[in-house]
Amino acid sequence: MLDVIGGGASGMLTAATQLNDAISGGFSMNYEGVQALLTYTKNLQQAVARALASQATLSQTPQLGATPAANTFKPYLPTIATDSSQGLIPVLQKLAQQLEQSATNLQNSLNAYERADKGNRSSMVNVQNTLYV
Amino acid sequence: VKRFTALASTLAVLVTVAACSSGTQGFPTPTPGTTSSADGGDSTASSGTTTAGGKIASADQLANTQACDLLPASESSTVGLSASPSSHLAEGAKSGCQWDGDNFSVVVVIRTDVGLAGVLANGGTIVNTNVGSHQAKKLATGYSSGAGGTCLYAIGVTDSLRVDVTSTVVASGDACQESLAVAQLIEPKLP
Repeated sequence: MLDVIGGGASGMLTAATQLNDAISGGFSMNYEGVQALLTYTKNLQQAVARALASQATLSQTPQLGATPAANTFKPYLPTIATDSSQGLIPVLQKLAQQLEQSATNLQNSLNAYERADKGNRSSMVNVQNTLYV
Repeated sequence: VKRFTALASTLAVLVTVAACSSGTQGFPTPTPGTTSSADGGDSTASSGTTTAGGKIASADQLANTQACDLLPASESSTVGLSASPSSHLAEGAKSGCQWDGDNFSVVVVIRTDVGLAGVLANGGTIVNTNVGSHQAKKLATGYSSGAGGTCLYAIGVTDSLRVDVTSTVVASGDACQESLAVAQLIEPKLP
């Protein structure tokens, strides 16, 4: 199960990074489209936080029992969950950070559109990196 | 055109992978009859005591308490969490429970085979502290504030019994403040 979740999180991290790369390059999208993308990003943030909260408990020694096999596996499982390069928890944390960056940029782009362009009947929102990172 | 194509591909991957990642969580549990009473990790095990906000009399009662009973609806809402738990889970503990809110997700687990001495640092910093009248350990990794930040407060009950409170930040906030707030609500009920 962990490898499935880890693989999914890793793929989502790549996709979220690509979304931030696209935002850094800047693009135009209609208002409703940006709103939908922002809603989706915030929903994904909630889902990642829920997954992270439940998986974070794996960073402690699991209560597997006292059989010889359990005693063999116990010490390794927290390491798998917390490994700094390939562990599930660090990957989920990086994904959460990327999503927050996306959400902030999308919200700032919508705010800028509402301040400057909406009154001029401009139909497109310029989505761009407002964080300068 | 290339940029739109790249964006469309990115969104397609996000949606597809999110769909693939859903599923039933599981964790191996020992075969009945092969372990001692301190072993196991089955959240569906029979509950011994429902606290209903009251103090749990003994360590044995706590070991048979469902983690969801440690934070009733009247208390979870005061720390920004849902009134009812989002899920019962074990995740390698005797019993566990998760609450979600707009800003935090919080998991509380009861561990019956390890006490405070067994808290693993995993590269973070363990700080000895107290929550109410109980000894506790705070484990903050290098990343406890901001999106994805986590923080653990482990409350010791006996040498082989503790309650872990882990908070995760959704977008912004301090996970350690949330974990401490939840731990302070739970601690008065512990023996």
